[in-house]
Amino acid sequence: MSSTPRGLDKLAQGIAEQVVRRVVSALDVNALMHQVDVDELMDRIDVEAVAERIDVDAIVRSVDVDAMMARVDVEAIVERVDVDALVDRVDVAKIIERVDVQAIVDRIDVDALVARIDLDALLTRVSIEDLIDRVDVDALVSRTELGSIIARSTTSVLTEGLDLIRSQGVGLDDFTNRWVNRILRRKGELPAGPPLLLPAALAAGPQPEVGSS
Amino acid sequence: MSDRLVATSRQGNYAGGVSRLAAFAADVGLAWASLLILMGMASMALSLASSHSVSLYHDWRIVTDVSVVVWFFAYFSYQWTLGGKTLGMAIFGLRVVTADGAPISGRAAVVRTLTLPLSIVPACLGLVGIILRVDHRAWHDRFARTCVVYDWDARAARLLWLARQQEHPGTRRHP
Repeated sequence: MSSTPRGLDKLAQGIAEQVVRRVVSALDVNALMHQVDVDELMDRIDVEAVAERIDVDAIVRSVDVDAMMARVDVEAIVERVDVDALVDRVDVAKIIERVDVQAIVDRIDVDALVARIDLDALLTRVSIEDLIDRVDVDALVSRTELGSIIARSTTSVLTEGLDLIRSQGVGLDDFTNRWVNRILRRKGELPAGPPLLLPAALAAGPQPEVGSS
Repeated sequence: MSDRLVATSRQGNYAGGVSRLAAFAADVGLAWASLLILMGMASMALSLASSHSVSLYHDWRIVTDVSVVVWFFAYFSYQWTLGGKTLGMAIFGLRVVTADGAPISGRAAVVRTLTLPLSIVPACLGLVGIILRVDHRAWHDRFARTCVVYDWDARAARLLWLARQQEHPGTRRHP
């Protein structure tokens, strides 16, 4: 008795499969899709329920990020980026306005910073002679109290008179030297003084235009 | 001559002929003046001692001539040995050094003094080098292996002048 229903089931199953196969082959899916109201269908889908059932972690775990990244041509992407246009769109002034510089400065430990600076190494890199050359001593003396101190400490009529006499002498010396050098057609490097008294560059260099001008 | 001194120190540079000639003239004048004072004092002392008027210049001519030579020799050699400069050179800011620039020795000072007349006597021919040579050395400089340099710091003088200008505005311009 039990074999008969089973045989009927098989028969029914075979018929159903044949029917479905024929129906499917006869179906015009495109025409059917045209009749489907996708919007209505989407409205009927409970997206939240579907999302809840999706195990995002499992999906993410199954993704091989390394393999994915290996297939990405970063160079090509970067080449396609118009950096200039990107930068043009950035309002730097606005960004700076939003930066609290004072807060940043307040957070800096200046003492610790200074303590880390090797002043000896720094000073060895500084050319003191160049530094002194850049100091306008004339302006320093004429505009500061230093000049007043010098004047009070060393002023004397005798010194002033000697300076006057000497500068006149030096001026006449230079005048004579210029003419003698011109007549004798001396050009180029002339020793300005003995080597021990003048630096090598000056002693062997061109006679400087000193004295009166 | 212009009205502005270029603020460059001249210390150590070879001194020119004008300054050297002026310093020499000042030295000769000072040597003569000091000699005349000394001889006058000596004449006065001899007059007082002998109770009659004594003139060294007229009565002791040889002594006077020798005294002149000795005095001039002492005047120059002693001062050059002492500090490399005479009074006249100090006025004009000059100094005698060796050809290399070192302080001169007593021997060099003596040689320089003894050979100084050699530069002057033959119509000052020995002094031509002061004008024509680059190192401004005369014959007596070459004999003694010396040279004359500026010992005057023009830079310091200018700073002093600027300081005075600040202290007393309206004073005369620096040469």
